[in-house]
Amino acid sequence: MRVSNNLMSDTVMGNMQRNLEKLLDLQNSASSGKKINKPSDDPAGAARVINYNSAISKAGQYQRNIDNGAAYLNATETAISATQDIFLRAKELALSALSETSSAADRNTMAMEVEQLYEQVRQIANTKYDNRYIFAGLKTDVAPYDNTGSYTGTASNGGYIDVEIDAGITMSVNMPGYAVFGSATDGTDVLAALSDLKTAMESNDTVAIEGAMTNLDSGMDQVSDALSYIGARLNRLDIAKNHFDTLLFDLAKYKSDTEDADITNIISQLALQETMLEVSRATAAKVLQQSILDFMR
Amino acid sequence: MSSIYDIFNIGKHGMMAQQKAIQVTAHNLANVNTKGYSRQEVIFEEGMPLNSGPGQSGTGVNAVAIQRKFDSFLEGQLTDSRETFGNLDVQKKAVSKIEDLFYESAGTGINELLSQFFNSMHDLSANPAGTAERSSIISRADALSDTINSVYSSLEQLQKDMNLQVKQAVNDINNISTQIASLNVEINRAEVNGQNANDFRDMRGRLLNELAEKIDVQYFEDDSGQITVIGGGMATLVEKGNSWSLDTKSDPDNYGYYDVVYSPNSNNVLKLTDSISNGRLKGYLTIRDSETRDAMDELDRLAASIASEVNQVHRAGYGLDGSTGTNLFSPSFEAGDVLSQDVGSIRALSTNTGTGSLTIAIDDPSALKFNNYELTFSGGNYTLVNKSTNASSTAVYSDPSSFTFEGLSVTISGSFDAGDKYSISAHKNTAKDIRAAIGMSDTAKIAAATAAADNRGDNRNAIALAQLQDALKIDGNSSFNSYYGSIVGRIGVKSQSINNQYAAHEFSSEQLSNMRESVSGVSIDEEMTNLMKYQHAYEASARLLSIGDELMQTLLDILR
Repeated sequence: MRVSNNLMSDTVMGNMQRNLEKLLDLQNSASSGKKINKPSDDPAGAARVINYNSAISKAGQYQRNIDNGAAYLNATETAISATQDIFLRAKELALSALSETSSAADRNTMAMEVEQLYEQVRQIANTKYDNRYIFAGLKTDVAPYDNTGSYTGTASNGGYIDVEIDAGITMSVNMPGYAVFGSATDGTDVLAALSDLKTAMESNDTVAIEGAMTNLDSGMDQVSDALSYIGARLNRLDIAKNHFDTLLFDLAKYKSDTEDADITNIISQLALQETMLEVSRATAAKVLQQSILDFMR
Repeated sequence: MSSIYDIFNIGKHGMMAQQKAIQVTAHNLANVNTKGYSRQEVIFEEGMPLNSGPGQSGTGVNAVAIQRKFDSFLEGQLTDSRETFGNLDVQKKAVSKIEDLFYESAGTGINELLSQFFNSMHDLSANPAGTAERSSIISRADALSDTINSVYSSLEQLQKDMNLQVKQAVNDINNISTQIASLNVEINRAEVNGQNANDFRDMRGRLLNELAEKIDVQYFEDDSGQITVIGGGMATLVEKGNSWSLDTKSDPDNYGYYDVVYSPNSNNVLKLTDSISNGRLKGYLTIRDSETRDAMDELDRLAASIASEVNQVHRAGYGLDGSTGTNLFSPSFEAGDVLSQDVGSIRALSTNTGTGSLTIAIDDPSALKFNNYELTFSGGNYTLVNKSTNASSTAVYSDPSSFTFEGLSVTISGSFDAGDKYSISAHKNTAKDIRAAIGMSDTAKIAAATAAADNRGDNRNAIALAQLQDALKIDGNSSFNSYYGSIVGRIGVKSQSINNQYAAHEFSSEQLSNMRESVSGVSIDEEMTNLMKYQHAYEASARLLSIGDELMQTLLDILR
């Protein structure tokens, strides 16, 4: 083949250009740490990265939902637990009021303490968390137990607030007051039981005291049922949260496998490419320098 | 008989011939780096012999021609190669711009903002009356809309750039055609007189390559050495000394973008746009009419689906202020909304001759599919074609008639002529126009509740809104995020394929130009060697003259 000067310089330039291009690509990968820098680098991979990104963002959000729900349930649990001691004290008082040795005056004094207990329970039933009445069902802006102790929150069957803890799976994170402290129409109205106890003590009526105590007992059962219900749900949230911990870890790994560059590999390729570029530079310097002119006088 | 004068003549002709050769060598050397230059060579021929004494005696050398070293087959292939280069070069750059617009690994793009928007709905469900949560929804809806708007307008800008490039390329083509025509004349004038118009031919070849880079060309050379050039498959651009120019004309059926037209005479205008098959023009047209348009259509569809689906759920809910039926995004895609001609949701073909009127309104938002449709009238029938699935339905048309399809209700009245055509796309321009319809001061209108009562604690509508993220709302098999992923995948495949074609073409065109260089390129070593050769020959011929002179002197001395 006949070789012209441009053929030689074009070939050298072309090779050098190709080497530079590869070097640029490698440098890009090395500095961004990614092998997919634009969709055309790996179209299917790029689409997967998009999907991983949304899955990661969503998993993070579900975790947040779970945390929010757990915080709400924990606040509910704390509040309800506090009432248990109060009920025990009320029961103690009722028992001693039933004792033969208690006088009408004693029972009157006890009634005063029961009244305090009643107020404490009512206060707890009107607990606010994050500026919301947690036992009010959906009526979170109105105290669920009014001055007379009657329930004004969302009525029976309703009033559960759900959060989504996984795609399509919702869980309620509150306890409407009627399911914990009862209401006129649902379960045992514990506030009414306390109030009855107080009235019975004041009127020195042991039969009525006994009746109120029975109600108090079933009220305590109702409260501990609510607690175990909350415990079960907190447990479930915990499991869900762990699931998302694992999932997030896996997703991050899949994403990284898809889009991250193998740095060791890149660096060694980079070194190789640099050497090749040096070679083509050296060749260029040698080849393009000489002509027959160097040998003519 | 021979004469001493013959020796003088041989010497003189020899010197002239070698001098010509040195001149050509100098020309070659000077043009060693000229693009498209073909090296030239002097053709020597022995002079006409004279019949004489012992036999015919030679009369020396003549430089009879200057030829250029040239392979017309290679030149033809190079021209083809320029066409493909022009086309791929345009597409490669433009598609890489498009993919940059859509891809985000770091998380600032549409996909991430879409996730954030729905995440903020989840946050609202955790605290339905929260002011911060509500503001966050609006600001994320704004961010999402702004980003969709800005990607869309970048695509539109790219489309407009391409359109301007079409006009520019047409100007360039006309300019080159004129130059080729005048070179045709020069070449003919020179060659009629028996000259080789080497340099003119090189110039013409170079212009032809420049032309081929702009538009696909076919050309042939006639006996007179002039070329006829046909561009875009059917437009004669150059014939002998004449050239015809292409023009651009705004096409009302293509959003006013330019058509390339060719008018060989005043009463004949040919539309060339669809027959252009290669070169930069093809690249510009492909990007303008296919690549950017497809991406814009997909983005419109995504935006319309988001707006429509979110609004449907949002309208069913109740805000803190008891409001209901409010939209979170605009456009609303509510039942009764009439598709507008202004934003291009309905487009009548400019060639329609009927006087009928067409009203399309949204009938059932939940049935909207956001496909592109075409409504054609023929005889007493109308045919509706779904451009995405190619499904079509035909029905008899009477004045007035109305029908519904995929959530849209169509009312037609008046008279239509056969061939009247309308394009319908309810989602058109949504990506350009989408924005949050609730202001920062109106966050109470965000409908987290399912009823007016208990609207401070009720989060059920917020959950329903959040769950839209996973719903397969687009074509029944894609969520918003996965639809976006599939757009990115499609653009990536397109770009990858163009890059591969480009790389393959680069390689083959390099081979071609190496082959051309091998035939036509100048080698300094070769030329310098030739220079010495010719110099020596020149010296020898000059020496001949002095020998002749001595001979003549000897002769004259005899007479003295």
